[in-house]
Amino acid sequence: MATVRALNPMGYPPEVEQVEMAPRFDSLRDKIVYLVDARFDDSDIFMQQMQAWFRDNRPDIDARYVAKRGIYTQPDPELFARIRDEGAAAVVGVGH
Amino acid sequence: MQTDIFHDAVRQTAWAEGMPHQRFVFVPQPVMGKSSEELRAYIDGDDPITGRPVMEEVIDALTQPLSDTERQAVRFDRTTPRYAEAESEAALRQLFMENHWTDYMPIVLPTEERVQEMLTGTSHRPDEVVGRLRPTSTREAWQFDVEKVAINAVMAGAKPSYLPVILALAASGVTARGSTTSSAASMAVVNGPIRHSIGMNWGIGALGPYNHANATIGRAYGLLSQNLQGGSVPGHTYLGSMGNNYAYNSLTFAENEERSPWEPFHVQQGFERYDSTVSCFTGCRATSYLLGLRQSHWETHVQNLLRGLNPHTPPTLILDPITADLFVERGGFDTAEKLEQWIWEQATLPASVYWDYQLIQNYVFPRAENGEKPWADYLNAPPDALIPMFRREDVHVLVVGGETNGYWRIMGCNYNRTVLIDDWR
Repeated sequence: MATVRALNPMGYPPEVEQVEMAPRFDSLRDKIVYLVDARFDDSDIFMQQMQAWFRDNRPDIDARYVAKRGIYTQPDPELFARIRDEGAAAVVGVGH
Repeated sequence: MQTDIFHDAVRQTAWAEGMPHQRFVFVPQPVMGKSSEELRAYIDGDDPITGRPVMEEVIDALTQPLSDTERQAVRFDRTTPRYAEAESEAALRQLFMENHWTDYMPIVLPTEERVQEMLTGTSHRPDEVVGRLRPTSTREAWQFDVEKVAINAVMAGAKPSYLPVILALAASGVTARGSTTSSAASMAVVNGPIRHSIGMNWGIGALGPYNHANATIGRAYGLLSQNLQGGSVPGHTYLGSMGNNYAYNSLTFAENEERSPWEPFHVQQGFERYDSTVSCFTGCRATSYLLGLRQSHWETHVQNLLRGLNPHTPPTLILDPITADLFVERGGFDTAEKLEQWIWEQATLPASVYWDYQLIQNYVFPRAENGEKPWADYLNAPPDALIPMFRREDVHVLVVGGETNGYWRIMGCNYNRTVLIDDWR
């Protein structure tokens, strides 16, 4: 059977470069975990409640609430460097 | 942490950013507007995607060693096939729809012959790179050439003589298919001699379905945006909660330069009158309107319109020539700049009301905290002090319409840039 053919209207995607995932600690006991407020739609209240959960359920973990600077699409190099230097892990939220 | 409605979107973004196994935990949508107690219940509850306890997943995500799958090198087949084929024309049309390549209206199938004919509308080589587009600033950008733009122009039903306008829109880098949850559409305004040569409409019904060039250039802008940026698929690359009917044609029209009392828009942006340009606006969600300008209370009427806008999205006045003349007569605004300045001065809100808008909290307050002007200057304003809703440079004026009456409207939108069409002839 004959085929009907047209040109594909899609553009050309960029190459994807793999980003390595960070190794994990076996335990977070006595370590600092940053709870990063991404600054969107009441994420500050959410992340503060997560900090309260850590206080109630895992007081052995030093869970610190921090609000990133700038809007949610902007990087915060100063904060990211602090997390890298001082923290064991970070939870970023709440995305959409 | 993400809300569950964005499950597919964040997985796709992580994949494209090279971390396909990034560890996410999901909570219910929405977070916005919920009390502390309600959000604590989210945290104490289960992930709606996996059914597992949220905080158990959080701890696991931070402590479980990387699996072999997570350590694997990522390999992606990212080629775009040159052709789409099917056993019949009907089957090929169905394929285009199933691939989300259309706006669900009938298209002209972009056969090689039709695309070749479309390419006669420009002197540029088919393989010349035109630019890149993306659904939003945090997504990957896809690249495209002249032929790819021509393919989408054919699909929209455009003529070869429109191709330079369509290429200029594509080269703008401004998508007409933004992925924003706010369902914003774009607006494209053509100025200069090409309005005449390709028969665009700036008179009666210019913003409606009454002109071939306006209709198909606007449709092409939408189709090329969704296809050349890698898609505009609900739940994946499009997240507008309600959608937006403006997106069918991206509000594409020509300015009524001949009947405007002011310099054409592109001249206000630094171009010459003899230049042909297209100007891109984004964030079009809603309009408010008036008829004319009454003698006694016209200033109050305009103020009321302005306060009805969301302060995150500045006003562009879209004026029928009758009302443009009235603004000159009533207010003495003999330049567009004088009218824009007056509009900016009228658009104010009490500081406490301004800062409490959700979009101001999301997009402006963090920038003010970072010291960005003018917003940083308003941070310490007393709660009842009136502060500007917008930046002066974001207020614009356009003239269009056929003078059947003096209706006019304010479009809340952001002016992005003006592109020279003559570069794409």
